[in-house]
Amino acid sequence: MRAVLVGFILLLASCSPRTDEIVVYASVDEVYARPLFEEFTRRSGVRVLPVFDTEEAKTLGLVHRLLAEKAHPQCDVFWAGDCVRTALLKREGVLQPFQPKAGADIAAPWRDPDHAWTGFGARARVIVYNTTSVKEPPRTLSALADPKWRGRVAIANPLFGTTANHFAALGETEALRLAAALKANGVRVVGGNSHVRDLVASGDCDVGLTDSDDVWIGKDRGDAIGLVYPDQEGAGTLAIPNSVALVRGAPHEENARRFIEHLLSPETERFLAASPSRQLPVRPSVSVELSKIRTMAVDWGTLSDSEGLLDRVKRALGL
Amino acid sequence: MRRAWGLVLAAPLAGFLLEAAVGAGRATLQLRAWGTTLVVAGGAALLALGFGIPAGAALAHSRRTLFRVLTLLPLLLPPVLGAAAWLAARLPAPGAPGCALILGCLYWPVVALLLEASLRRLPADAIDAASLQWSTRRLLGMVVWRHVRPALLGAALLVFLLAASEFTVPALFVVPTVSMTVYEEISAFRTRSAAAAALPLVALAVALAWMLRRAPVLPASSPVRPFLQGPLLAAARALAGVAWAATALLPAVLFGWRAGSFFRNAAMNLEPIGWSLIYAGATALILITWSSLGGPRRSRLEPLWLATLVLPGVIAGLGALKIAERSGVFPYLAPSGALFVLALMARFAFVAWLPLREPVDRSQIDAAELAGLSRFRIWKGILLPAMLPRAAAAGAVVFVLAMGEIGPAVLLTPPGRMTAAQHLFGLMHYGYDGVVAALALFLFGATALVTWSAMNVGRFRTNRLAG
Amino acid sequence: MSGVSVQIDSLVKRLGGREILRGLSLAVEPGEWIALLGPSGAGKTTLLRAIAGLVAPDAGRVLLDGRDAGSLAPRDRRVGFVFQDLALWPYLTVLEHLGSASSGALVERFGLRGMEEKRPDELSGGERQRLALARALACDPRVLLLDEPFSSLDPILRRTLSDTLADLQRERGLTTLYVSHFLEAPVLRASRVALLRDGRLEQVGTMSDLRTRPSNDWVAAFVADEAGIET
Repeated sequence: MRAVLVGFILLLASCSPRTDEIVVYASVDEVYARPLFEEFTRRSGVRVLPVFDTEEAKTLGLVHRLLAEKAHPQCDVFWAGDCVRTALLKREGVLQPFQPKAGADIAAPWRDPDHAWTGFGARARVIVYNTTSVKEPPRTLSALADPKWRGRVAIANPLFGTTANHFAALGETEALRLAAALKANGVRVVGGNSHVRDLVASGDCDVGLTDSDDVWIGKDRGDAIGLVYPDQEGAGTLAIPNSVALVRGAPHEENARRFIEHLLSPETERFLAASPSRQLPVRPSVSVELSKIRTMAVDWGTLSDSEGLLDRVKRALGL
Repeated sequence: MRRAWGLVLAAPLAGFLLEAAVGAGRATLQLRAWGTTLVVAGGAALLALGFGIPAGAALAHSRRTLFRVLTLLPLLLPPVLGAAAWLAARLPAPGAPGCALILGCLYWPVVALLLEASLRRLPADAIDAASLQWSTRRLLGMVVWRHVRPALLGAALLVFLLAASEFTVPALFVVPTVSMTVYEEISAFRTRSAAAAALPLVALAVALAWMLRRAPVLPASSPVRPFLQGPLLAAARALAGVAWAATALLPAVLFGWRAGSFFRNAAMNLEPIGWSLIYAGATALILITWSSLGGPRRSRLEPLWLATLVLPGVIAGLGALKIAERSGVFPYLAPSGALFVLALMARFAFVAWLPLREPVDRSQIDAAELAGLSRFRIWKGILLPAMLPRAAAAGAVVFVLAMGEIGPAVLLTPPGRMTAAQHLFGLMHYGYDGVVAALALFLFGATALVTWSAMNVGRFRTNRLAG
Repeated sequence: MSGVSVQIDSLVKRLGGREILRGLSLAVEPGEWIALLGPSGAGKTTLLRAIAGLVAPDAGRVLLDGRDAGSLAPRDRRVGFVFQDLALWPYLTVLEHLGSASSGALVERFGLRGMEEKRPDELSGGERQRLALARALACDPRVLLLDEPFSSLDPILRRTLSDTLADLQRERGLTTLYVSHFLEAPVLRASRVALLRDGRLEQVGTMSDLRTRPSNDWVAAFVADEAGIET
């Protein structure tokens, strides 16, 4: 037993931070993150050690981890596929302000006013529809409650991920009204945005609410689906940017800053735009696609404190 | 030392409960969630009995390792693969009954294996004596059924607990069970509410562990005197075959079909596979060493270890994280993965402990001590031959369970060292079906290989020691 | 008399690659009490199990009342068996062991009055032994097989049970095969003793025959060694 313990202690002792690496907690899709990490390593010689979330744990894993590690951070950079979790971490004092030069040309709606995080490469919350069975797709969120779509609408669990962000962004009144209307219209609530897309693609549902990158991935593999940016005549479509932030007390702060500069470069946005996820650059200089869409005005800080509202949405949906 | 380690292994659960006591939220009874849970977990337990009873009877009438491996496979796979197979088969949304079906298909081996173990404790001569007087039907009713009844009750309760605390399947199909509630409350940082939702599960686990304390010592494997024959035995084997085909072979075929170039996909993921093997290997090795050292002994911590096993894995991870942070050991344990291994050890301590807590009758040790044998000779000559097959089997089970564990992994794997299971789940929704299927097939294969080897190596070494 | 003849014809039985019974032949008269004696591993228990139908012979046959018993299931042979480790059913009460038909008389005969609702683990060693004997007689057997039934009892209890058994055997005229590996009262009470070694019958005859006219040196030595241990 003692020999085993000694071995264990030797294992523990083997890990002090190295200067030629950084740790990135990435709550984003691994397939897009890895090439960017490898590119950074090629250019800088600094190795990136990532920790990824799983699809189902996206609200739970890395955020809890960062909060628990606050006194002794392992992580240098937090990269999320939205801003809500980043705003929460800012509120908890996990992040430190950083104004990267590469992000100087990113407009105010896509950055934290206190420089705790910077946004880039956005996804839109869209209505996905089956192009075979649907000739006139709904153009607003409210239209999803039209009786002609009864039992044929799918959304993801409103407690997690971008669906949670979407309901929170609508504000309490509208969110609860929409939830009740969808419930009355027999909405199907499934585990994730990709499942929404798959249901629509297979014809089990006609329309759904999902992320734009899920739709593009489906179209690329041959699914008969299309997308609509909802509420272009009204409040606008919710566009959710990636966000990157420097962790307070980062063990490799200098390398972390270099990495953030790399991630906020126009090349990164071009890469994400050209990738299967077709993420929308927030810089008009890279692409004007996003500027052609009427986007919803959002206070990400407020959205990070929406647990109570989301509980009520869950109950309104009958979950 | 053994007792100290036992306390360490109970720490993550204690950490979670402590966090619950001081954390945010309210202690409310989640009636609706419990109603759904009763459907899911109760249905799973019934289905597990339906598959498990004939399979257990079939196992008791066979000595082939293949059937044992086929029985273990569904149990040792991450439950989310069952849900992935459902989705891959393009079946409609299952709802609570469908979740019960999926979980019953995964957990029926618990019933089969506990029933087989109970049947092996049934004295062979008791069956012979009954066969001299009674018909097969009366023999089954008067002797066999009365003997196995407690084991079946315990098995059904264990399946209920495992199904009630399983999170990934209800989450995928948005079925609001208690485990979902626990997860939602943790996500909202309301750990007190999460603990309140989980407390009935903890209480049930403690009750089950208390029942197991009074269970007799598991004997070394002995052949069961056949009590089924003719049409009854054929029917048991046929039903067992359906269970094996539907829950072990069919998913393997499905994943094999979708895996595409298995070796290419696996080769692209060698690093997470390697880390999985290291973490799981370390967990199994240390746990088996801990549970097999020292003489036969029971522990008052067993209910806590069992609770850690049957509660959602994320609780062990969160508890370990919080305890490490509060105690100040986090910076020393986290970066290397030691904290992750400790959380896995806490999670599966009961699995390693139960088969090895009393490998031989106490009287054998007493006789050896009276004969003046040294502790080393007692361990080598008496304990080790009895423990070896069980240690091999328990180690194999811990190894494959640890490989597929996702809850603590999300919270505790060091940067750059993610496991194959984490990697697999991260890819599940991208349409990277080939890679997902390849990784799932790897887990299948590793499970089968490790289990088969453990059963045969244990038997080989025991024969050599006995010879 | 309810006992029937038991005839063993050239019985062969292999277990685990080893020949346990090697062409053994033996004839037992109806109502006869015969003792099977021999060292451990001689095949005595296997012979009893073959007669009861609990093991199927690899060659040879067992005849009960002149008829081939090969096609008869154990429960159709009307054989009472007292196992070496008693083989009581741990979850059944005394009454359930005996069944309803003859339980009252057997309870009285074997001194189990007041214990009808007890389970085996609630009985003493002697009470368990009596229950095992009573159960063997509960099915109204034609043949009674006893496999070292008294080996773990003290001499007084052994004598008492042995007397009870003898009385019953006399009353019912049961054909009885009693296995032992040493000379105890039931062996000496037998009309004949069959001495087994390594699956073969070395000699069958009265105790006096075995002592005065042993068929070979081994028989002579065995009987001489055992003489005086218990009478």
